[in-house]
Amino acid sequence: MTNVIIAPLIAGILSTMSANRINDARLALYLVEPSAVITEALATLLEDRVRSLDCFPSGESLLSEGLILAPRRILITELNLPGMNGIDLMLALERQHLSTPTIIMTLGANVSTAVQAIRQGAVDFVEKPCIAVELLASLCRIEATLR
Amino acid sequence: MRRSTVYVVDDNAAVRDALLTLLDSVGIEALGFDSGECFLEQLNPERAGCALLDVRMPGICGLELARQMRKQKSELPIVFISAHGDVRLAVEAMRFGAEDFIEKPFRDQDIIDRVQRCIELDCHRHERLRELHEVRQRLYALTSREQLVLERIVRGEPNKEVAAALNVSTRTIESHRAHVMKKMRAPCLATLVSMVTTVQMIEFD
Repeated sequence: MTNVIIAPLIAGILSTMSANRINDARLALYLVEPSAVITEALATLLEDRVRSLDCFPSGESLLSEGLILAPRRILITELNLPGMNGIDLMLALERQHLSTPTIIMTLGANVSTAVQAIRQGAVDFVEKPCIAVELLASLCRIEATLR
Repeated sequence: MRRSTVYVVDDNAAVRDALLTLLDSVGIEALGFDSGECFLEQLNPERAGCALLDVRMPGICGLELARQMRKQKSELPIVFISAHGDVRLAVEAMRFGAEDFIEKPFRDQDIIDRVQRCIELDCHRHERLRELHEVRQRLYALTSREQLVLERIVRGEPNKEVAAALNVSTRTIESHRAHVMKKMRAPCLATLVSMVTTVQMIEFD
């Protein structure tokens, strides 16, 4: 149901996004998002702007990959995932010495979850559905710090 | 624990008084301010504690106030209090480096817990600053010759090399070295290295 609301919103915002060009063709993104529709929308938004984009439906599926530490890697993950949640995923990567700047996104966020996410180490926290503008702005900021 | 002060900045007198009464009831010393401007005038960076800031105030808003505090070199831990469940604002505040962001209405115990945690954190920070200051004093109390020797021994140079470089006997360096260790109150070379590195790191900042 939520996908029906979100997909067109993201699609609508896409056209306005060309102004917000990030010079981040060097970024490598992990996107963890259980909904195929949102994954597709975000992939459309992001794939031309980054070096690589790998999508996973859950934290476990990301962790089961043979991960290696890569420069300019950023994790974008939904908070509510089947299995481990987005914050746990971020912490799991950290424990494997694969600390990755992380943007947590979620629908129906509340203040205390957002505060928790950042206290635990997330670089940013963006609310769905109006996620595209913020996501790109956030990537821009992180990219600037990686330079 | 060292004496600490909690600064409560809220334009709403009722909320401010409630917070002051609450903190007073658990023996935490607190001062109230009705605006960011008044608070900034009274801010004493020497004093440990924390700041409870209302996000929305006429005049300087909470986030701007936090920026001003940092500009004035105050590292006081900051807890924001907000009447609006505004996620974006909370994220901005936390990204800025706030210790916490609490929504109204709050539970009294939550405020007490967080304030106490902040005070502990800040006392710890002040304690470290004091130690650092002492180490720095000891460093400056060394003679210029001893400072030269210190620079070389923390780089791992053996006495013999230091002696050759400074054109004196190894015995002289041994004696300088002993003085350096004693004056710095360093039980071993590792401690000395860590002292010097910490001071250098802070001064480099």
